[in-house]
Amino acid sequence: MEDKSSIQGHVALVTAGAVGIGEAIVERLAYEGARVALLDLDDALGEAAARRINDSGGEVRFINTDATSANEIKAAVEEALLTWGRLDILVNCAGGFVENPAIEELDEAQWRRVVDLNLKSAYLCARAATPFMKKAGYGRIVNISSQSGRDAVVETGLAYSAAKAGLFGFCRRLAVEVAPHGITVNTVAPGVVVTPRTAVLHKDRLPEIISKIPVGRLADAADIADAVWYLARPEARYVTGVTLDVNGGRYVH
Amino acid sequence: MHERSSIKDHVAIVTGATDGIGLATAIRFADEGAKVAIMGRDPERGTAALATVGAHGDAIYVQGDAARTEDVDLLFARTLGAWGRLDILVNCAGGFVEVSDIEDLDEAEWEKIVDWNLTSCYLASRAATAPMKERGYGRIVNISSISARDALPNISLVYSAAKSAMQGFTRRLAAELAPHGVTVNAVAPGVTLTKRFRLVHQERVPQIVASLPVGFGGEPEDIADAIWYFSTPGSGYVTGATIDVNGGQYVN
Repeated sequence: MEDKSSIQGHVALVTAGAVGIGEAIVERLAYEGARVALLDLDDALGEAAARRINDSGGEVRFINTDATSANEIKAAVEEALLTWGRLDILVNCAGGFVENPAIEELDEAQWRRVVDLNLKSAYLCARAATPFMKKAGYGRIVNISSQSGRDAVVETGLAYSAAKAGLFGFCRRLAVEVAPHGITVNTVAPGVVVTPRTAVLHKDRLPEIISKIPVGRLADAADIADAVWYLARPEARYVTGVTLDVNGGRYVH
Repeated sequence: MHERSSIKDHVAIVTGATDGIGLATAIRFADEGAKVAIMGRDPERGTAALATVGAHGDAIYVQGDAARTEDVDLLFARTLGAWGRLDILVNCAGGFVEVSDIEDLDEAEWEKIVDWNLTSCYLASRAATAPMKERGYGRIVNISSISARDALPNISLVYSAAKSAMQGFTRRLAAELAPHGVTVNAVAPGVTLTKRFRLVHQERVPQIVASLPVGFGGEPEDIADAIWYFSTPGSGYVTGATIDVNGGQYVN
Protein backbone atom coordinates (compact mmCIF):
# COMPACT_ATOMS: atom_id res chain seq x y z
CA MET A 1 0.00 0.00 0.00
CA GLU A 2 1.30 3.42 -0.92
CA ASP A 3 1.76 5.57 2.17
CA LYS A 4 -0.30 8.67 1.53
CA SER A 5 0.21 10.24 4.91
CA SER A 6 3.88 10.31 5.66
CA ILE A 7 5.61 13.02 7.62
CA GLN A 8 8.56 10.67 8.09
CA GLY A 9 11.73 12.73 8.46
CA HIS A 10 9.91 16.05 8.62
CA VAL A 11 10.92 18.54 11.28
CA ALA A 12 8.25 20.03 13.52
CA LEU A 13 8.28 22.77 16.10
CA VAL A 14 5.58 22.66 18.76
CA THR A 15 5.11 25.40 21.35
CA ALA A 16 3.83 24.52 24.83
CA GLY A 17 4.72 20.93 24.07
CA ALA A 18 5.42 19.72 27.59
CA VAL A 19 1.93 18.90 28.83
CA GLY A 20 -1.67 18.39 27.74
CA ILE A 21 -2.59 19.02 24.12
CA GLY A 22 0.93 20.11 23.16
CA GLU A 23 2.49 16.97 24.59
CA ALA A 24 -0.02 14.78 22.72
CA ILE A 25 0.81 16.62 19.49
CA VAL A 26 4.56 16.13 19.99
CA GLU A 27 3.96 12.46 20.72
CA ARG A 28 1.80 11.91 17.64
CA LEU A 29 4.11 13.76 15.25
CA ALA A 30 7.06 11.81 16.65
CA TYR A 31 5.12 8.56 16.27
CA GLU A 32 4.53 9.43 12.62
CA GLY A 33 8.27 9.82 12.11
CA ALA A 34 8.79 13.55 12.48
CA ARG A 35 11.67 15.02 14.46
CA VAL A 36 10.23 17.47 16.93
CA ALA A 37 11.50 20.54 18.71
CA LEU A 38 9.45 20.71 21.89
CA LEU A 39 9.29 24.29 23.12
CA ASP A 40 8.16 25.05 26.64
CA LEU A 41 8.93 27.29 29.58
CA ASP A 42 9.11 24.48 32.11
CA ASP A 43 12.46 22.67 32.14
CA ALA A 44 11.37 19.75 34.29
CA LEU A 45 8.16 19.03 32.38
CA GLY A 46 9.74 19.67 28.99
CA GLU A 47 12.69 17.37 29.66
CA ALA A 48 10.43 14.69 31.08
CA ALA A 49 8.06 14.74 28.09
CA ALA A 50 10.97 14.63 25.62
CA ARG A 51 12.58 11.75 27.49
CA ARG A 52 9.35 9.77 27.69
CA ILE A 53 8.67 10.11 23.95
CA ASN A 54 12.28 9.42 23.03
CA ASP A 55 12.21 6.26 25.16
CA SER A 56 9.50 4.92 22.86
CA GLY A 57 11.51 5.65 19.73
CA GLY A 58 10.85 9.33 19.09
CA GLU A 59 13.35 12.03 18.20
CA VAL A 60 12.37 15.00 20.33
CA ARG A 61 14.53 17.85 21.53
CA PHE A 62 13.41 20.10 24.35
CA ILE A 63 14.23 23.78 23.93
CA ASN A 64 13.36 26.09 26.82
CA THR A 65 11.50 28.93 25.15
CA ASP A 66 9.12 31.70 26.06
CA ALA A 67 6.71 31.75 23.14
CA THR A 68 6.01 35.46 23.70
CA SER A 69 9.65 36.40 23.23
CA ALA A 70 10.69 37.16 19.67
CA ASN A 71 14.35 36.54 20.48
CA GLU A 72 13.78 33.21 22.16
CA ILE A 73 11.52 32.01 19.34
CA LYS A 74 14.11 33.03 16.78
CA ALA A 75 16.79 31.18 18.71
CA ALA A 76 14.64 28.05 18.98
CA VAL A 77 13.92 28.03 15.24
CA GLU A 78 17.64 28.44 14.57
CA GLU A 79 18.47 25.59 16.93
CA ALA A 80 15.98 23.29 15.20
CA LEU A 81 17.45 24.21 11.81
CA LEU A 82 20.99 23.75 13.06
CA THR A 83 20.08 20.34 14.47
CA TRP A 84 18.03 18.96 11.59
CA GLY A 85 18.52 21.34 8.66
CA ARG A 86 14.85 21.87 7.84
CA LEU A 87 11.52 23.01 9.25
CA ASP A 88 8.32 21.57 7.81
CA ILE A 89 5.70 21.92 10.52
CA LEU A 90 4.91 24.61 13.06
CA VAL A 91 2.24 24.01 15.68
CA ASN A 92 1.25 27.06 17.67
CA CYS A 93 -0.08 25.52 20.83
CA ALA A 94 1.09 28.05 23.43
CA GLY A 95 -1.83 29.63 25.20
CA GLY A 96 -4.11 29.60 28.17
CA PHE A 97 -5.34 31.94 30.83
CA VAL A 98 -5.25 32.08 34.61
CA GLU A 99 -7.95 34.42 35.85
CA ASN A 100 -11.44 35.16 34.65
CA PRO A 101 -12.43 38.54 36.04
CA ALA A 102 -15.42 40.64 35.03
CA ILE A 103 -14.49 43.19 32.35
CA GLU A 104 -14.33 46.09 34.83
CA GLU A 105 -11.72 44.14 36.79
CA LEU A 106 -9.70 43.04 33.78
CA ASP A 107 -6.64 45.29 33.83
CA GLU A 108 -4.48 46.07 30.86
CA ALA A 109 -1.51 44.08 32.05
CA GLN A 110 -3.64 40.94 32.30
CA TRP A 111 -5.26 41.61 28.94
CA ARG A 112 -1.90 42.05 27.28
CA ARG A 113 -0.41 38.95 28.91
CA VAL A 114 -3.23 36.72 27.68
CA VAL A 115 -3.34 38.19 24.17
CA ASP A 116 0.44 37.90 23.90
CA LEU A 117 0.47 34.28 25.00
CA ASN A 118 -2.45 33.13 22.82
CA LEU A 119 -2.20 35.33 19.73
CA LYS A 120 1.09 37.20 19.52
CA SER A 121 3.00 33.95 20.09
CA ALA A 122 1.48 32.52 16.90
CA TYR A 123 2.55 35.59 14.96
CA LEU A 124 6.08 35.49 16.37
CA CYS A 125 6.50 31.79 15.60
CA ALA A 126 5.04 32.07 12.11
CA ARG A 127 7.25 35.08 11.38
CA ALA A 128 10.32 33.16 12.47
CA ALA A 129 9.38 30.01 10.52
CA THR A 130 8.07 31.31 7.19
CA PRO A 131 11.41 32.46 5.71
CA PHE A 132 12.68 28.88 5.85
CA MET A 133 9.38 27.38 4.70
CA LYS A 134 9.25 29.79 1.77
CA LYS A 135 12.78 28.86 0.78
CA ALA A 136 11.79 25.19 0.83
CA GLY A 137 8.51 25.92 -0.97
CA TYR A 138 6.75 23.85 1.66
CA GLY A 139 5.28 24.29 5.10
CA ARG A 140 2.43 23.35 7.41
CA ILE A 141 1.34 25.77 10.12
CA VAL A 142 -1.36 24.66 12.55
CA ASN A 143 -2.75 26.93 15.26
CA ILE A 144 -4.54 25.63 18.31
CA SER A 145 -7.50 27.84 19.03
CA SER A 146 -10.47 26.94 21.21
CA GLN A 147 -14.20 26.57 21.21
CA SER A 148 -14.01 29.70 23.37
CA GLY A 149 -13.08 31.56 20.20
CA ARG A 150 -16.17 30.24 18.39
CA ASP A 151 -18.84 30.35 21.01
CA ALA A 152 -19.67 32.28 24.19
CA VAL A 153 -18.08 30.28 26.99
CA VAL A 154 -18.31 32.33 30.18
CA GLU A 155 -16.06 29.97 32.14
CA THR A 156 -13.07 31.08 30.09
CA GLY A 157 -11.44 34.49 30.28
CA LEU A 158 -12.61 37.34 28.06
CA ALA A 159 -9.13 38.14 26.77
CA TYR A 160 -8.65 34.43 26.07
CA SER A 161 -11.86 34.23 24.00
CA ALA A 162 -10.83 37.35 22.09
CA ALA A 163 -7.30 36.10 21.44
CA LYS A 164 -8.48 32.63 20.39
CA ALA A 165 -10.97 34.20 17.97
CA GLY A 166 -8.12 36.39 16.75
CA LEU A 167 -6.30 33.24 15.64
CA PHE A 168 -9.06 32.58 13.08
CA GLY A 169 -8.50 35.94 11.38
CA PHE A 170 -4.75 35.53 11.63
CA CYS A 171 -5.01 32.07 10.07
CA ARG A 172 -7.23 33.09 7.14
CA ARG A 173 -5.15 36.12 6.30
CA LEU A 174 -1.77 34.41 6.63
CA ALA A 175 -3.05 31.41 4.64
CA VAL A 176 -3.75 33.56 1.60
CA GLU A 177 -0.38 35.34 1.93
CA VAL A 178 1.76 32.23 2.04
CA ALA A 179 -0.34 29.95 -0.20
CA PRO A 180 1.78 30.63 -3.30
CA HIS A 181 4.79 29.27 -1.41
CA GLY A 182 3.37 25.82 -0.71
CA ILE A 183 2.63 26.70 2.89
CA THR A 184 -0.78 25.95 4.40
CA VAL A 185 -2.10 27.60 7.55
CA ASN A 186 -4.98 26.04 9.42
CA THR A 187 -6.52 26.08 12.88
CA VAL A 188 -7.89 23.40 15.15
CA ALA A 189 -10.55 24.49 17.63
CA PRO A 190 -10.81 21.96 20.48
CA GLY A 191 -13.72 21.65 22.85
CA VAL A 192 -13.05 20.73 26.46
CA VAL A 193 -10.05 18.41 26.61
CA VAL A 194 -9.11 16.16 29.50
CA THR A 195 -5.96 17.77 30.90
CA PRO A 196 -4.70 18.44 34.44
CA ARG A 197 -5.72 22.06 33.88
CA THR A 198 -9.34 21.41 32.86
CA ALA A 199 -9.78 18.92 35.70
CA VAL A 200 -9.13 21.79 38.12
CA LEU A 201 -10.90 24.49 36.11
CA HIS A 202 -14.19 22.64 35.71
CA LYS A 203 -14.02 20.17 38.57
CA ASP A 204 -17.55 20.51 39.95
CA ARG A 205 -19.20 21.07 36.62
CA LEU A 206 -17.84 18.18 34.58
CA PRO A 207 -21.06 16.11 34.55
CA GLU A 208 -23.02 19.14 33.40
CA ILE A 209 -20.45 19.96 30.71
CA ILE A 210 -20.40 16.39 29.47
CA SER A 211 -24.20 16.28 29.34
CA LYS A 212 -24.05 19.04 26.71
CA ILE A 213 -21.55 17.28 24.47
CA PRO A 214 -23.35 15.14 21.88
CA VAL A 215 -20.67 12.43 21.80
CA GLY A 216 -20.98 12.15 25.58
CA ARG A 217 -17.38 12.55 26.66
CA LEU A 218 -14.63 15.12 26.94
CA ALA A 219 -11.94 15.14 24.27
CA ASP A 220 -8.68 13.34 24.82
CA ALA A 221 -5.61 15.34 23.93
CA ALA A 222 -4.98 12.58 21.37
CA ASP A 223 -8.19 13.58 19.54
CA ILE A 224 -6.76 17.05 19.01
CA ALA A 225 -3.37 15.67 18.03
CA ASP A 226 -5.08 13.49 15.43
CA ALA A 227 -6.58 16.54 13.70
CA VAL A 228 -3.24 18.38 13.86
CA TRP A 229 -1.50 15.42 12.27
CA TYR A 230 -4.11 15.30 9.49
CA LEU A 231 -3.49 18.97 8.63
CA ALA A 232 0.30 18.67 8.97
CA ARG A 233 0.65 15.99 6.28
CA PRO A 234 1.80 16.81 2.74
CA GLU A 235 -1.45 15.37 1.36
CA ALA A 236 -3.56 18.09 3.01
CA ARG A 237 -2.04 20.58 0.53
CA TYR A 238 -5.41 21.85 -0.76
CA VAL A 239 -6.76 22.65 2.72
CA THR A 240 -5.76 26.12 3.86
CA GLY A 241 -7.21 28.96 5.90
CA VAL A 242 -9.75 26.72 7.58
CA THR A 243 -10.71 25.92 11.12
CA LEU A 244 -11.45 22.34 12.06
CA ASP A 245 -13.68 22.03 15.12
CA VAL A 246 -12.83 19.04 17.28
CA ASN A 247 -15.49 19.35 19.92
CA GLY A 248 -17.70 16.27 19.97
CA GLY A 249 -20.46 18.13 18.14
CA ARG A 250 -21.05 20.56 20.98
CA TYR A 251 -20.80 23.57 18.76
CA VAL A 252 -20.89 23.21 15.03
CA HIS A 253 -19.96 26.04 12.77
CA MET B 1 0.25 3.47 10.57
CA HIS B 2 -1.32 4.60 13.82
CA GLU B 3 -4.30 2.45 14.76
CA ARG B 4 -6.44 5.59 14.95
CA SER B 5 -5.95 6.08 11.22
CA SER B 6 -6.59 2.56 9.97
CA ILE B 7 -9.74 1.70 8.03
CA LYS B 8 -8.40 -1.71 7.05
CA ASP B 9 -11.31 -4.17 6.64
CA HIS B 10 -13.89 -1.44 7.18
CA VAL B 11 -16.86 -1.54 4.85
CA ALA B 12 -17.67 1.62 2.93
CA ILE B 13 -20.47 2.74 0.63
CA VAL B 14 -19.73 5.57 -1.79
CA THR B 15 -22.56 6.96 -3.90
CA GLY B 16 -21.82 8.87 -7.07
CA ALA B 17 -18.63 6.86 -7.26
CA THR B 18 -18.28 6.06 -10.92
CA ASP B 19 -16.32 9.22 -11.66
CA GLY B 20 -14.52 12.22 -10.21
CA ILE B 21 -14.35 12.74 -6.46
CA GLY B 22 -16.44 9.66 -5.66
CA LEU B 23 -14.22 7.39 -7.72
CA ALA B 24 -11.04 8.86 -6.20
CA THR B 25 -12.54 8.25 -2.76
CA ALA B 26 -13.41 4.64 -3.54
CA ILE B 27 -9.87 4.05 -4.80
CA ARG B 28 -8.39 5.68 -1.70
CA PHE B 29 -10.53 3.51 0.56
CA ALA B 30 -9.50 0.38 -1.33
CA ASP B 31 -5.84 1.45 -1.03
CA GLU B 32 -6.33 1.78 2.71
CA GLY B 33 -7.64 -1.78 2.89
CA ALA B 34 -11.36 -1.06 3.14
CA LYS B 35 -14.04 -2.95 1.21
CA VAL B 36 -16.00 -0.61 -1.02
CA ALA B 37 -19.47 -0.66 -2.55
CA ILE B 38 -19.95 1.94 -5.25
CA MET B 39 -23.14 3.19 -6.85
CA GLY B 40 -23.80 5.20 -9.98
CA ARG B 41 -26.50 5.45 -12.62
CA ASP B 42 -24.57 4.72 -15.79
CA PRO B 43 -23.84 0.96 -16.05
CA GLU B 44 -21.04 1.45 -18.54
CA ARG B 45 -19.18 3.89 -16.30
CA GLY B 46 -20.05 1.71 -13.32
CA THR B 47 -18.46 -1.36 -14.86
CA ALA B 48 -15.33 0.62 -15.71
CA ALA B 49 -15.18 2.13 -12.22
CA LEU B 50 -15.57 -1.31 -10.64
CA ALA B 51 -12.62 -2.59 -12.66
CA THR B 52 -10.54 0.38 -11.52
CA VAL B 53 -11.45 0.18 -7.83
CA GLY B 54 -11.30 -3.63 -7.93
CA ALA B 55 -7.64 -3.39 -8.95
CA HIS B 56 -6.96 -1.65 -5.60
CA GLY B 57 -9.03 -3.89 -3.32
CA ASP B 58 -12.40 -5.56 -2.64
CA ALA B 59 -15.24 -3.77 -4.41
CA ILE B 60 -18.77 -4.22 -5.69
CA TYR B 61 -20.80 -2.03 -8.01
CA VAL B 62 -24.53 -1.56 -7.71
CA GLN B 63 -26.21 0.15 -10.61
CA GLY B 64 -28.80 2.64 -9.46
CA ASP B 65 -29.99 6.13 -8.72
CA ALA B 66 -29.11 7.33 -5.20
CA ALA B 67 -32.26 9.48 -5.19
CA ARG B 68 -34.54 6.40 -5.50
CA THR B 69 -35.44 4.50 -2.35
CA GLU B 70 -35.55 1.07 -4.07
CA ASP B 71 -32.09 1.54 -5.54
CA VAL B 72 -30.64 2.68 -2.23
CA ASP B 73 -32.24 -0.28 -0.46
CA LEU B 74 -30.68 -2.61 -3.00
CA LEU B 75 -27.28 -0.97 -2.50
CA PHE B 76 -27.43 -1.51 1.26
CA ALA B 77 -28.79 -5.05 0.96
CA ARG B 78 -25.99 -6.03 -1.40
CA THR B 79 -23.31 -4.38 0.73
CA LEU B 80 -24.48 -5.91 4.00
CA GLY B 81 -25.04 -9.21 2.21
CA ALA B 82 -21.48 -9.22 0.92
CA TRP B 83 -19.63 -8.05 4.03
CA GLY B 84 -22.10 -8.06 6.94
CA ARG B 85 -21.32 -4.62 8.31
CA LEU B 86 -21.16 -0.96 7.39
CA ASP B 87 -18.57 1.46 8.78
CA ILE B 88 -18.49 4.33 6.31
CA LEU B 89 -21.01 6.09 4.08
CA VAL B 90 -19.91 8.79 1.67
CA ASN B 91 -22.73 10.75 0.06
CA CYS B 92 -21.08 11.93 -3.10
CA ALA B 93 -23.96 11.59 -5.56
CA GLY B 94 -24.97 14.94 -6.96
CA GLY B 95 -24.23 17.63 -9.46
CA PHE B 96 -26.09 19.91 -11.81
CA VAL B 97 -26.37 20.40 -15.54
CA GLU B 98 -27.86 23.80 -16.24
CA VAL B 99 -27.34 27.25 -14.79
CA SER B 100 -30.54 29.28 -15.15
CA ASP B 101 -31.65 32.65 -13.86
CA ILE B 102 -34.36 32.22 -11.24
CA GLU B 103 -37.18 33.25 -13.62
CA ASP B 104 -36.19 30.40 -15.92
CA LEU B 105 -35.63 27.81 -13.21
CA ASP B 106 -38.68 25.56 -13.44
CA GLU B 107 -39.97 23.35 -10.68
CA ALA B 108 -39.03 20.11 -12.40
CA GLU B 109 -35.40 21.22 -12.60
CA TRP B 110 -35.53 22.40 -8.97
CA GLU B 111 -36.83 19.04 -7.77
CA LYS B 112 -34.42 17.03 -9.89
CA ILE B 113 -31.34 18.83 -8.53
CA VAL B 114 -32.60 18.74 -4.93
CA ASP B 115 -33.19 15.01 -5.37
CA TRP B 116 -29.76 14.32 -6.83
CA ASN B 117 -27.90 16.24 -4.15
CA LEU B 118 -30.01 16.34 -0.99
CA THR B 119 -32.67 13.62 -1.12
CA SER B 120 -29.98 11.08 -2.05
CA CYS B 121 -28.00 12.11 1.02
CA TYR B 122 -31.06 11.68 3.26
CA LEU B 123 -32.03 8.30 1.78
CA ALA B 124 -28.60 6.73 2.13
CA SER B 125 -28.04 8.20 5.61
CA ARG B 126 -31.40 6.80 6.70
CA ALA B 127 -30.46 3.38 5.40
CA ALA B 128 -27.03 3.54 7.06
CA THR B 129 -28.25 4.48 10.50
CA ALA B 130 -29.61 1.09 11.62
CA PRO B 131 -26.47 -0.97 10.86
CA MET B 132 -24.22 1.75 12.29
CA LYS B 133 -26.24 2.20 15.50
CA GLU B 134 -26.31 -1.54 15.99
CA ARG B 135 -22.51 -1.68 16.16
CA GLY B 136 -22.16 1.68 17.91
CA TYR B 137 -19.82 2.93 15.22
CA GLY B 138 -20.11 4.81 11.97
CA ARG B 139 -18.69 7.56 9.79
CA ILE B 140 -20.95 9.51 7.42
CA VAL B 141 -19.32 12.05 5.11
CA ASN B 142 -21.42 14.35 2.94
CA ILE B 143 -19.93 16.08 -0.05
CA SER B 144 -21.09 19.67 -0.07
CA SER B 145 -19.53 22.40 -2.19
CA ILE B 146 -17.86 25.78 -2.08
CA SER B 147 -21.09 27.01 -3.69
CA ALA B 148 -22.75 26.35 -0.31
CA ARG B 149 -20.24 28.65 1.36
CA ASP B 150 -19.93 31.51 -1.05
CA ALA B 151 -22.00 33.18 -3.78
CA LEU B 152 -20.84 31.82 -7.13
CA PRO B 153 -22.99 33.11 -10.01
CA ASN B 154 -21.66 30.50 -12.45
CA ILE B 155 -23.04 27.68 -10.33
CA SER B 156 -26.66 26.55 -10.44
CA LEU B 157 -28.89 28.28 -7.89
CA VAL B 158 -30.70 25.13 -6.86
CA TYR B 159 -27.40 23.28 -6.58
CA SER B 160 -26.10 25.99 -4.22
CA ALA B 161 -29.28 25.70 -2.17
CA ALA B 162 -29.16 21.90 -2.01
CA LYS B 163 -25.47 21.84 -1.09
CA SER B 164 -26.12 24.39 1.68
CA ALA B 165 -28.97 22.24 2.91
CA MET B 166 -26.55 19.32 3.19
CA GLN B 167 -24.66 21.31 5.82
CA GLY B 168 -27.79 21.83 7.90
CA PHE B 169 -28.55 18.15 7.46
CA THR B 170 -25.00 17.30 8.55
CA ARG B 171 -25.13 19.40 11.73
CA ARG B 172 -28.53 18.16 12.77
CA LEU B 173 -27.87 14.48 12.02
CA ALA B 174 -24.51 14.72 13.80
CA ALA B 175 -26.22 15.75 17.02
CA GLU B 176 -28.74 12.92 16.66
CA LEU B 177 -26.22 10.16 16.01
CA ALA B 178 -23.38 11.29 18.28
CA PRO B 179 -24.50 9.17 21.26
CA HIS B 180 -24.27 6.10 19.02
CA GLY B 181 -20.63 6.52 18.03
CA VAL B 182 -21.60 7.75 14.58
CA THR B 183 -20.04 10.97 13.28
CA VAL B 184 -21.50 13.03 10.45
CA ASN B 185 -19.31 15.59 8.71
CA ALA B 186 -19.19 17.43 5.42
CA VAL B 187 -16.43 18.23 2.98
CA ALA B 188 -16.86 21.34 0.84
CA PRO B 189 -14.62 21.12 -2.23
CA GLY B 190 -13.63 24.11 -4.27
CA VAL B 191 -12.20 23.87 -7.79
CA THR B 192 -11.59 20.19 -8.46
CA LEU B 193 -10.00 19.15 -11.72
CA THR B 194 -12.34 16.32 -12.60
CA LYS B 195 -12.97 15.28 -16.17
CA ARG B 196 -16.30 17.07 -15.98
CA PHE B 197 -14.74 20.30 -14.67
CA ARG B 198 -12.23 20.34 -17.53
CA LEU B 199 -15.01 19.64 -20.02
CA VAL B 200 -17.23 22.46 -18.73
CA HIS B 201 -14.49 25.07 -18.40
CA GLN B 202 -12.21 24.04 -21.26
CA GLU B 203 -9.73 26.81 -22.08
CA ARG B 204 -10.68 28.78 -18.95
CA VAL B 205 -9.10 26.17 -16.66
CA PRO B 206 -5.59 27.72 -16.49
CA GLN B 207 -7.09 31.13 -15.65
CA ILE B 208 -9.33 29.66 -12.94
CA VAL B 209 -6.43 27.76 -11.43
CA ALA B 210 -4.16 30.80 -11.49
CA SER B 211 -6.75 32.74 -9.50
CA LEU B 212 -6.56 30.31 -6.57
CA PRO B 213 -4.33 31.35 -3.64
CA VAL B 214 -2.39 28.08 -3.77
CA GLY B 215 -1.86 28.48 -7.52
CA PHE B 216 -2.95 24.97 -8.46
CA GLY B 217 -6.26 23.21 -8.90
CA GLY B 218 -7.25 20.48 -6.52
CA GLU B 219 -7.29 16.95 -7.86
CA PRO B 220 -10.07 14.53 -6.90
CA GLU B 221 -7.46 12.85 -4.68
CA ASP B 222 -7.11 16.04 -2.61
CA ILE B 223 -10.81 15.93 -1.79
CA ALA B 224 -10.64 12.19 -1.17
CA ASP B 225 -7.92 12.81 1.42
CA ALA B 226 -10.29 14.97 3.51
CA ILE B 227 -13.10 12.43 3.08
CA TRP B 228 -10.70 9.71 4.19
CA TYR B 229 -9.79 11.66 7.35
CA PHE B 230 -13.43 11.98 8.40
CA SER B 231 -13.77 8.23 7.76
CA THR B 232 -11.01 7.19 10.15
CA PRO B 233 -11.65 6.02 13.72
CA GLY B 234 -9.26 8.72 14.94
CA SER B 235 -11.54 11.58 13.87
CA GLY B 236 -14.25 10.40 16.25
CA TYR B 237 -14.39 13.65 18.21
CA VAL B 238 -15.06 15.65 15.06
CA THR B 239 -18.75 15.72 14.21
CA GLY B 240 -21.15 18.16 12.61
CA ALA B 241 -18.20 19.92 11.01
CA THR B 242 -17.60 21.08 7.47
CA ILE B 243 -14.09 21.29 6.14
CA ASP B 244 -13.34 23.49 3.14
CA VAL B 245 -10.90 21.93 0.68
CA ASN B 246 -10.42 24.69 -1.84
CA GLY B 247 -6.86 25.94 -1.90
CA GLY B 248 -7.78 29.05 0.05
CA GLN B 249 -10.36 30.28 -2.48
CA TYR B 250 -12.90 30.76 0.27
CA VAL B 251 -12.02 30.53 3.93
CA ASN B 252 -14.62 29.89 6.61
